[in-house]
Amino acid sequence: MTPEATLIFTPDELLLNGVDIARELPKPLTPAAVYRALIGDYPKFFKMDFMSKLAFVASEFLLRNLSSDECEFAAIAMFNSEGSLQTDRNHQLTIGHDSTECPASPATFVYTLPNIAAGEIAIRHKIMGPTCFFAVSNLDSPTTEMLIRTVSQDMPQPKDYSSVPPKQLANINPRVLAVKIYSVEQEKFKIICYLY
Amino acid sequence: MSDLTTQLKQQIIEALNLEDLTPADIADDAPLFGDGLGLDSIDALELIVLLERQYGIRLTDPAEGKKIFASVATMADYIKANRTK
Repeated sequence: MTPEATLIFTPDELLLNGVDIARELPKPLTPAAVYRALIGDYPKFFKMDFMSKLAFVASEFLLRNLSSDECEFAAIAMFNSEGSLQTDRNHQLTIGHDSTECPASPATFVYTLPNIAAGEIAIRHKIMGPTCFFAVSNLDSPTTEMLIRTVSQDMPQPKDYSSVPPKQLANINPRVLAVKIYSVEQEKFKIICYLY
Repeated sequence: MSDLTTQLKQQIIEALNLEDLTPADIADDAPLFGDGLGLDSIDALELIVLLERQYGIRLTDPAEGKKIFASVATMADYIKANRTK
């Protein structure tokens, strides 16, 4: 499968189809800095865990130009090698440190499922297609490509939705947003998004 | 901006892990839920715990919370009137 658009986000660059769209921003880049400079209309961003912030920012530049109907029929397939381990560890630090009625943080607990990151993107862009998150050891393996292809072949088609007028259906090309998260370390994060 | 308001904003940032925000990013009168800070029901639980832990205020009426948590300013007013520590 050949992606119609690709975005690479690291502390050094934010490449949309090979063009650095954050070249004016001070380095190292952070998800928050890019959000403030180039997005800025979704306050819930600040509540997210780091992986969700990364995925939110990276996906934004591939999805923001799709129509609402195109977003509605899109799917999301996300991949990393350690699930939500970073947030799991952060949440563990909040557990059992006092005797109040709330001995762990609900705010961090919410993000102790990796597929929450896919949910955040889906909520933002009103994506109604399937969302899935795969924890795999090799993000560039044939297995990963097979999973993306499987998602793309198993998507609900626009004709399955009664909410869209028939005359609009012909113009909708169901997309798959594939998100590969290579690292969520603050200093050397790396995420690549593909729009198929 | 009063000391209590600034302190409360910092406590909200810490309680909700809003690590990329500073007190200056939160307007006193901006809605905490919905369009303002984008908080939700999970966060309301954190705010209830914050009031009890930091100011000795125990909320028992959920309807009361809706008014108290409208903004940082309304929270600060309620704390001034009801704090036990």
